Amino acid sequence: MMRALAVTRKDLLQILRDRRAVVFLLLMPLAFTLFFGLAFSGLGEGGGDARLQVGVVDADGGPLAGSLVRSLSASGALRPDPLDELRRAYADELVHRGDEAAVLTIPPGWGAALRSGAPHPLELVTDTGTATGLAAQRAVQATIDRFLAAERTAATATALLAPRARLPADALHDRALELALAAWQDPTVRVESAQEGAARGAGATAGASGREAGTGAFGANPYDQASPGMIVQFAVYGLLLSAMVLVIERKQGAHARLLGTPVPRAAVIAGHGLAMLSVVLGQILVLEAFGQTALGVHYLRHPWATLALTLALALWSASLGMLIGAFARTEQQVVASGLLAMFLLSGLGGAWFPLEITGPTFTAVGHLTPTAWAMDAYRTILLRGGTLSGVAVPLLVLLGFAALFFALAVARLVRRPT
Amino acid sequence: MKLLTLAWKDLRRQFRSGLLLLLMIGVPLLLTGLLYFAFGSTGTGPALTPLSVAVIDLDTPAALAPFAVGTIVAQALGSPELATLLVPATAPDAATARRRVRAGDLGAAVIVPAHATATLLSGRGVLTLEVITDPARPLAAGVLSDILQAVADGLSAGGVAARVTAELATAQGVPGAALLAARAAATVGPGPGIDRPASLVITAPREGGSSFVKRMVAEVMAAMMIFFVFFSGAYGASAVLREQEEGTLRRLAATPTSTATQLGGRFLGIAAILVVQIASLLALSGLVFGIGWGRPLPVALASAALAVDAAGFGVVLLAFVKTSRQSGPVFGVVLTVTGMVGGLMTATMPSLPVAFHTAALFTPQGWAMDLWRACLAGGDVGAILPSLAGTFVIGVGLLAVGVPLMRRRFARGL
Repeated sequence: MMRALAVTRKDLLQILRDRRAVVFLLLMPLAFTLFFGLAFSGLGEGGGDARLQVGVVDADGGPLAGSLVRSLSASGALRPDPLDELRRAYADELVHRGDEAAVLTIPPGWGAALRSGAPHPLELVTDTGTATGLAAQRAVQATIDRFLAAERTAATATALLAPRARLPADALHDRALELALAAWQDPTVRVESAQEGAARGAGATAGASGREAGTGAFGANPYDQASPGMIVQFAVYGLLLSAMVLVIERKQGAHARLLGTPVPRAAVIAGHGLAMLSVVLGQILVLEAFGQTALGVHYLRHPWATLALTLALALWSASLGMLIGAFARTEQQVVASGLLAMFLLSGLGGAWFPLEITGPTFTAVGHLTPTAWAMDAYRTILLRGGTLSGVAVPLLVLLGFAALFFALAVARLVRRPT
Repeated sequence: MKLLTLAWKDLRRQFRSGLLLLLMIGVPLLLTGLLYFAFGSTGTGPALTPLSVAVIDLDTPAALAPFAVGTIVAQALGSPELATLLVPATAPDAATARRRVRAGDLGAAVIVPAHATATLLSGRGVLTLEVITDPARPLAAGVLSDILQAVADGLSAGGVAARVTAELATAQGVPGAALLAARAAATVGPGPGIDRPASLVITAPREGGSSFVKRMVAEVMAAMMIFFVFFSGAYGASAVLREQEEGTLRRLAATPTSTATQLGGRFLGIAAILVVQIASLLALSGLVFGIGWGRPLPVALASAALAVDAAGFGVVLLAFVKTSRQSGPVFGVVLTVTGMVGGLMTATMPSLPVAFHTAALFTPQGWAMDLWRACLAGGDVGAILPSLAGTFVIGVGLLAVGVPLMRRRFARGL
């Protein structure tokens, strides 16, 4: 045991006396976390006005069209931008360049057709493949639906009241439409969304629409994705240093000399493994502490669940480091394997973006990697408030991967000629 | 001739290393492929994993009620049109549904309250549909809320019609306001909001046939190419360190080869490496992902500018490292941070803070990214000129700083 600890101490000294190790292990993940958190935060809506700018081509020019434009403006989510003749011709380009989230065209005769009860469809140019385009399409569609419902109400009320009302039919219709549009500001049926188990009150209730509070792809706090994502990514990156120690030791003949001493091979392997585990564990704990204290990520919501996950992640990462260190012949091979592992496992496992937005196939493939299970466990703890039992399955999967990698590494180290 | 021999030697050394080939060509294609697989497989952009939704109907409508709110909500959410977004699920009661949502077994639950139909038919009071969502599925929950809002609007339509008709009848002195309101409500609604006739025709912007996925993949590929070309530029420049350590630089000095030839050969070698890398990435990404990089002349100029930029940056970076062992970490950190600030890792991210775009212009990678975006947009030389000039000027400036530093290192190596 003491001999294994001596090997561990030697490895740790070798890794940590290099100041560049601190950069790799801590500063890089911190920089990436802050960067991606800021990038995901959507601060770029610009100038304090978060409404989506939608170009409006009013080719109808009638009062109903004018009323629709006012409804778009009153929706709270959209900022109508009347397009002049010159810009009308470049509607596609305006959307493509991102100058407008969408361009809505009200065709000639739209108002008259609507009054006659056979409305023409409106035309919307937008790229629904982008988050902005999709949001613009939804907001425009919702406003138009309410406007058309208001118009149906006005037409119905006019038909029922006109024979006995004091106002002429047209004026009655206008008044009814005005009342109906006002009534839609306070509809009879409402939708209230609540996130079950969410940590923050601010992000927990989405009010009437999912667009309103903290329901972007990255949730209420973008660091809930960025912080664990970068922890998982750099847990893989950090093992490069540990794996490198194994390779350098072997190349310089120190490994062979070590085996020439009365230190059993098992103690050497255990010592190396413990060193890797200590490095990764320390790295993860520091990054979690930073996330908890500086970024508002609730790692301590269920401390035992987080601690168990941290241990399982560190065990898996250390076992991967052992595996790479056992099979690689040169430092270059360690770097290549480590980088490939980092890119593939991070990308597939949802460390860069939530797997939710990738579709079922990518999600299924992603779950062949241990990183996807680690991210699942982090999201369960941070977002759902999951306890130790709630993350039991991801933990078992991580431990299974750790056992598999460690067994392969040990088999290689035992058989490898010195 | 010696110049070419030296350049050929560097080129061979670089391209016979499987590891370097992997990093220069394999990894950029792999990373782009990963994102293509994640977002491009549908051909229409990001696709959500379907959300399982249970409707907990606590309503018990009267036998003669013309409709039942719970049935309308369940039918709307179970509509075949929404099959790619929502998967109907069941839960016996609200408490179980909450527990299952918290455990992640259920994506969301919609609770239709007791007396919902009676409340709606009475025209008095507000009916609230409660949606419980999984906080780990915020995007899908937002989509569900939007769909449900449309259903709720369909249900509200009758109530709004009744309210407006009653108010207008009273104001106009028309007798029988309550009866008229009931008739208006019956005429207008309710009905599921998602079954509306097409009120909006949506078209994607015409941009030379380039869809969102194509644009995204192309921009990611451009970002990866820039990142790894800068890496190659730095690695190519660091070859001088390895030769210094291996002693070949001294042996070269013993031959009748001038310093200018040695330096020239070195730069020619780096330039050749970068040009081959860029050409390979452009060709392979075109083949694999179908990326149309733009018009030939702008693409050729952009490639040259990128090579100058990357070589200049690599030569300047060389001044900050003493040994080849130091070069890996230093290059890794500097290239990653400048690439990050230059926008290479957020190339397709919408709604980035304005400060990110400003910061990108302080890095050579940011200018290079602008340049390749302009090429991808199909611009001619005139259209790409500002970013082309910026990229060239930065590259030449970096070389002007770096070459004397490299000359000094050559002198030290002799």
